[in-house]
Amino acid sequence: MPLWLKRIGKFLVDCIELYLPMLSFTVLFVSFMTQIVARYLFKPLIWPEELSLICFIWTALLGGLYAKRTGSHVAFTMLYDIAKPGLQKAMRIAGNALLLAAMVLIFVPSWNYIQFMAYKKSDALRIPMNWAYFPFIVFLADMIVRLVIDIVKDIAGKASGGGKP
Amino acid sequence: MNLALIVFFVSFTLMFLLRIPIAPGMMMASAFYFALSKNPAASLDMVAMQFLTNMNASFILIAVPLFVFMAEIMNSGKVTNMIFSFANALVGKRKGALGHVNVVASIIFSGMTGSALADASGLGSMEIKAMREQNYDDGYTCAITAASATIGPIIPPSIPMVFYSMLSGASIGYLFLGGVLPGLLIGAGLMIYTAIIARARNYPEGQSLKPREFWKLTLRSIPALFSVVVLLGGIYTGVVTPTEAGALAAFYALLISVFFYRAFGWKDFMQVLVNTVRTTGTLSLLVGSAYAFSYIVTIEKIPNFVAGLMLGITQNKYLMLLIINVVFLILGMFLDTMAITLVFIPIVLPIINQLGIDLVHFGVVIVLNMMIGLSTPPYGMLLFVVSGISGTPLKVIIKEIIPMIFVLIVVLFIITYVPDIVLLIPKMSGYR
Repeated sequence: MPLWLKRIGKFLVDCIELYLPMLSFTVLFVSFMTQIVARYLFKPLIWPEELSLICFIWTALLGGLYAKRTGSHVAFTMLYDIAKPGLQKAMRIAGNALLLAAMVLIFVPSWNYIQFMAYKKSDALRIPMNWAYFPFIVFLADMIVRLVIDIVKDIAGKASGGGKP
Repeated sequence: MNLALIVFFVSFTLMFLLRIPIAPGMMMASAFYFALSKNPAASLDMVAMQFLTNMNASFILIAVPLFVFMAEIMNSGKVTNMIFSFANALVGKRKGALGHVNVVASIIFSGMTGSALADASGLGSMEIKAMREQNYDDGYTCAITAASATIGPIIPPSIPMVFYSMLSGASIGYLFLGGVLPGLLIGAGLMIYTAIIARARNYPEGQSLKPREFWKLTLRSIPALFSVVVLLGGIYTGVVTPTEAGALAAFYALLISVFFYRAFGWKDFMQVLVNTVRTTGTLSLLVGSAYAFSYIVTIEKIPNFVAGLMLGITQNKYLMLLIINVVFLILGMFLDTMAITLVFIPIVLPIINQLGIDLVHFGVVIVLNMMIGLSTPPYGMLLFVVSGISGTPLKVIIKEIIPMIFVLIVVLFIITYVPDIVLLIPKMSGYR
């Protein structure tokens, strides 16, 4: 793969897993502050509350992907740590395969549910709820791709960063 | 027991055996259950539905990213340094001064952060460095840093209390206020222990500042210390909700870091945002995944089953609190705090309600209990953090922290059986 293509790819992944949740957290914070100012100085608003909840969902799910990339998710590591490297590899493959199966299993039903929610719009801003809930699909898709990559790397014996959950 | 439920438990166990991260792991166990269950209330889109609708309805959870953001700003700007210098000046010439400074700084800092890990990683690295320069032994240094970080989520704000409030429906404002005295009690306990150890091991004395210097430093620390006033004062007087207080205090920290201490640039701000997103992702994904998980626990009536079992052993609330405390302390030795909160607290809440135990009192007790779990071997996140910062082997830290854990457990039992220590301040502010 040429270098420029790699760079673009990395940038796109960064957009999804890092820049977008950073942006949505900033919007959350700003709309929250707007609400406080409005409530004490003028009259309470409805939209900031709505917007900050939607941004929270976006930050949580996409930030969760960034946490997966940096290996920050909490896991119970005591047994894994005392296992021999060969067994550790088998544990990684088995664990990732189980996760992969579950994510694939719920992908289509989740997609249908979220598309179905298009009929509902938020009260103040009239944002369709399928937009608000869309990062869940992104989360599942990204997880599926990353899990497949992890499994393939492990089987091909190229896993170097397998030390993190 | 039906097949779906067996698969549910087996996948839950596999999550621990195979080191599957707990957040997606809970989604996995739920997905397999939903795929197999014949219960009409179960379908495969439930993982998404429970995650999204509950998250969209839990306004209180927004406090979590806000508290994380605030702690990140404090640690990145100069605020944490200021608190450390101020605590240093306050303790003065005492024997084992830096041990005391460690505790005092944690008490002040805990009025700004809601997480023990933020305390240990930000303030902690500063404390460990200072103590090493004065030749304190590594074991004690790391142990007191970890043990004093426990105060972080007890004195408000507190991320674990937000989760407890969400699960139990207890008022977050009163929970926060209820943590103040127990937090100070832990501080006192650790300082008494430090005084004894410092004498026995002949730890170095601190330096007392000249009055002029002391006041100069105090004056410079006031903006940093004032953030505690913003937070606690706002919550205590009810002028702002605890969530709003988090946003306001973060905004305030941002202002003083940029304009007063001038130690916060664009690059720092970006790094703060990255860290906030990562921590928020870790915590919120756990909560979101736990919704489907606890939905299953509920439709399978597991809490009722456990309540029946436990109430069969005893109906005495003091004995029950003892049993629950011991069980949670044991769970804390092996499991992550968030996993315990989200999986086990919903299971014991019906018992607490049935025995008429005050939910605010129980909340503070159980949060302290779980925070002790952060320092207990073999699995204690605080131990890992201080060991990681300092490069000290876990074994050395564990040996030194055991007497401190004993101090924490004594405080835990005092507040369990003297509820007024928890409830005094909430009552002054109008609880019940």
